[in-house]
Amino acid sequence: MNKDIQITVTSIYDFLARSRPAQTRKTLFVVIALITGCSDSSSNPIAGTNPPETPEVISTPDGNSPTAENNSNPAISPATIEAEDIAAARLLTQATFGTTIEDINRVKALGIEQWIDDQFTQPGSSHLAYALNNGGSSSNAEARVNKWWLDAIDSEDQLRGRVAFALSQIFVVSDVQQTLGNAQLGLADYYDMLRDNAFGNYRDLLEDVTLSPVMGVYLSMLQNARANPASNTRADENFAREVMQLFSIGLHELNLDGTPKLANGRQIATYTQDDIAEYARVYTGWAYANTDRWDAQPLSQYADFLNPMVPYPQYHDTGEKRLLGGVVSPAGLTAEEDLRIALDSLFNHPSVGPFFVKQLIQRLVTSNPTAGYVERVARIFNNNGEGVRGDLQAVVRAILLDDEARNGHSTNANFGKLREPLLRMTHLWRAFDAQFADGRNNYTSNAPQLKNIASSFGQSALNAASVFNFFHPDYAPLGAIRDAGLVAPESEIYSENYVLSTNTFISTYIHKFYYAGTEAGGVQFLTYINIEPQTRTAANPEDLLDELNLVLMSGQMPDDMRNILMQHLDALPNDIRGRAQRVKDSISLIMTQPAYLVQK
Amino acid sequence: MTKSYQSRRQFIKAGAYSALFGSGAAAVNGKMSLIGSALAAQGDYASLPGYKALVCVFLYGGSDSFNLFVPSEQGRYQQYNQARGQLALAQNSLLSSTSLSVLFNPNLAGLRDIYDAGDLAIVRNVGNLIQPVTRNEYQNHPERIPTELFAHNHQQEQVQKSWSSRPTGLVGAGWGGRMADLLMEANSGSLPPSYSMNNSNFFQPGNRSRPIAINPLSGPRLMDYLDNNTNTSSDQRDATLMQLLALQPQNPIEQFARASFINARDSARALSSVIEASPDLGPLNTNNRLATQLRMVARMISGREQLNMRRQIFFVGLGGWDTHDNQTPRLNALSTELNEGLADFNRALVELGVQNQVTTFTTSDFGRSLTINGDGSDHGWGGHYLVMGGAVNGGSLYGSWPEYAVGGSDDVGDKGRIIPSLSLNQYGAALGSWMGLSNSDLLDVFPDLRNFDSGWQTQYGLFNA
Repeated sequence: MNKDIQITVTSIYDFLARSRPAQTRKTLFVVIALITGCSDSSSNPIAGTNPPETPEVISTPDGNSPTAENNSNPAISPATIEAEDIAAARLLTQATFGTTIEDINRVKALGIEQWIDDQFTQPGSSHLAYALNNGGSSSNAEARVNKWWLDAIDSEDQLRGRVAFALSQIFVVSDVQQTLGNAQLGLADYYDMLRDNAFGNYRDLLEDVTLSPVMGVYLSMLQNARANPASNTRADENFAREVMQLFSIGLHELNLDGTPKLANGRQIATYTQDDIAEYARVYTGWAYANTDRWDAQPLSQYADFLNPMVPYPQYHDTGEKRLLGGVVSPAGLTAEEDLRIALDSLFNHPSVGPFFVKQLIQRLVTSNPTAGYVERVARIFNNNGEGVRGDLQAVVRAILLDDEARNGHSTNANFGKLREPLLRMTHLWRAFDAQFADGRNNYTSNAPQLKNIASSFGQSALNAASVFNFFHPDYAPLGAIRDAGLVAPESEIYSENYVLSTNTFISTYIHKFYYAGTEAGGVQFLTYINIEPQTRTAANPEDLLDELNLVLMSGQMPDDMRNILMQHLDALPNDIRGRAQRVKDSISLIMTQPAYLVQK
Repeated sequence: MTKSYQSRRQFIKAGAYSALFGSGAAAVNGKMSLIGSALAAQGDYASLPGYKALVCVFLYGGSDSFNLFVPSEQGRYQQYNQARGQLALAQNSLLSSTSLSVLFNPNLAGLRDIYDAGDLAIVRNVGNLIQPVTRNEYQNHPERIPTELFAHNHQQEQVQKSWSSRPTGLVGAGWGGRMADLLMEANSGSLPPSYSMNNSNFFQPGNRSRPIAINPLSGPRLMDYLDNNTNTSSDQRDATLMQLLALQPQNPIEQFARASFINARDSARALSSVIEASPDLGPLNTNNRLATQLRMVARMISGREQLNMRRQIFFVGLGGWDTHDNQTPRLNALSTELNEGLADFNRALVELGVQNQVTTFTTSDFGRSLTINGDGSDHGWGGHYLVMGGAVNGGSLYGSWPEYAVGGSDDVGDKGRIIPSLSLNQYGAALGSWMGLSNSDLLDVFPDLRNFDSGWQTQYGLFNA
């Protein structure tokens, strides 16, 4: 094992044994007694998932028992602890809004598989309800944005939140669009819909997306009327095109492993312009619920953004539609019947599995999954083992438990993905126990720039520039990435402009707003990190870097990077101020580094 | 391409790699150069005289330019009016111009005035083409047609890269970038010729030159706490940061992350003082996204001598043109923004005294369908674009009007998606020729250009002699 990525047991134990400052609002989830050390995760990707019968306890590398309280159990080997800590941290990087020591211990206590299953049962809470109870209105985005941050930083249902955020980048709607900028409650409800469907079935998700009035406005299926020869109008093609290109089957036919099918060396178009026109006729005759006004204006009292669109039969095209895969929706059907047949035709298309799961893998685990990884997950999409197609819970489970997710960092040189700027910020605040300034109870009143964070980060929840998201899944910057035939979607928002503003923002919330015991900055003003525990650890820089390596970098810090940081920390004084500086400098320097920025 | 030219390029490429390799060591000494951004080299363009800049205004979403510029001649207007149905703009609402052959959208009064002053031209029915095609060829020869026509992302990429005979994924650099690869020889120093006010795009990355993305409101700003030129940093932390940045990762995505951080930091160091020193160009409506971006372009141009720039390529973007629904009010807002933004920029360039040296042009994913889908239009193909600047032989129309007939000879089918009569290759080559690129190099920049007529060699008369 690499000495430099070892987590000394003492430092972990110290961390867990720490008490919190009185003003913190969160309770440390202490699971020392449950720390398990059963198997080496490198020999079995899904191992370590069953806690041992008897809880075991840790020892220091030199074999001495930790001196802190609560330790009365026999020791296990430090190497085992290390591998387990790393395995847990890596899972949390993929499955949450940022690794924390608490969550590492929870994963270790439950085992990876059980932790995932436990996450499936976490209910979470409604974004719409929060917005309604906290001053949200159709034109005020603040409550919706607050709830996104509260969820990301503090909620227990981390996996649901992370998957929903991924889904929001596939089934994109955005308040950049002017009408939706004034439908903020509808957007909160849309996000709830994604959350509710995150572990449901893809077919239900597809239908809920299709009938959402928010999506109806965004891709103009709302009030899409059948052709009227008298006024020389025809059905709107917008939703018909994008639901195929972006939400379901993609532009080109795919093999199960996500690679394109070829005919005479050329990719095969999944659909033609004529197909779009046929589907456009399907998606006619839908408008706002709870009114009989077909043409209700989006800013009027009749625009219901909180209930699915309903059919207005007189505007539906009842002619026959010839759909993909030889499916025919016969003449005379209702809008609902046509829709069911059309969405089924997309849902049953063989490209859906590989097209959808590859993007989900990219959002959670790695930008360049191997064909085998995509195929294994796509098989689960096609059949969860019980004959069910589109089971998203099974898909998420398969993505996270796959050998490539669990061990790709050591088996695949190109494994990993650039961290999204939003997820860097949530990581900081989760890992270092962000606290609200006195008298505040949300993140945006504590950090006003969060309301307009897209201007700094290039992204914010439900705020993409277009239905093509903040970045394209196949984006490959020129240079080594493209030369190697790889993609790095998030690199599209790593422009010089966003790199400058993102790093300034994050560094400010490290160096300026922090609590380190008697040493603190800005805590009465804005959200601050609580680095008091780390500041104590910083008396021994080796221990500090062990902890930060684990919680920020999942134990992947290169030796040379660690050596440089060690020199820096050793040169800072070992008094309270110097120790706090050691912590802040380490965090901010680590978070600029390539080895951190690429989640592995 | 001549043999000597090829070997020169290979020599430069080798130089680029050694610079990349060495930049880490330079970083430790606090003398970083922008990684792979631009390298001065001697060659055909090193002695280009004067200053010239090209500004690409990309209208994201597919601009309904058929409703920005409308034919005035009675027969054509009637054809337009009939094809567009309820989307058609009433003849008496349109703005006339001295040339009498074109009417402007009512919100484009400022552009009409620039047109009448002879500093703005309209290039009609331009689009993404591999070769000239007819309706019959479109329907029977798919191999002659760019792939994924009508899909936003692919058309944005193809239009910005302009090499449509190759599948989208096989083209790397954009045509702006391929021009910059050559024109950067006219500049000295390590800064690239290309600057984006709209973050990433496909137009500007070149095989040797990389664009720098600049914040359109503030310009590049030094990173707080991570740059010892700020009062929030410390020399000690900065020295450690330099050491860390000297580490060379193996993973290609990590290599990108490293380069993006170094380039960002260096770009702020190189440019923030230039922006701060730029002259006051008067009040700016920051609600106008285009005006905001173009104002920053003007401020960058004002620093051209300080930066040793003689050829520059800028990119700005204006989104929201995908007017599938509610088109009339949306197009009103967008055309107002376009008009104010371009007119403001034109004023600023006059004030800086560089109006004759800067040429601004529009383009988009595609044009839109003539036909109406209820209250909007769908994805089309050809569209009308504008070229603005003191060097432009303005007040004139270039190219030709399409037949505004649904199902007519210029329609790919029966929805009024219009086959372009002028290729983006030709359009871009005329602009590149004005920038000083040789005909042979333009054939490299636009590999499909050889499939079209050679009028681009004389710039179609688009520029004043």
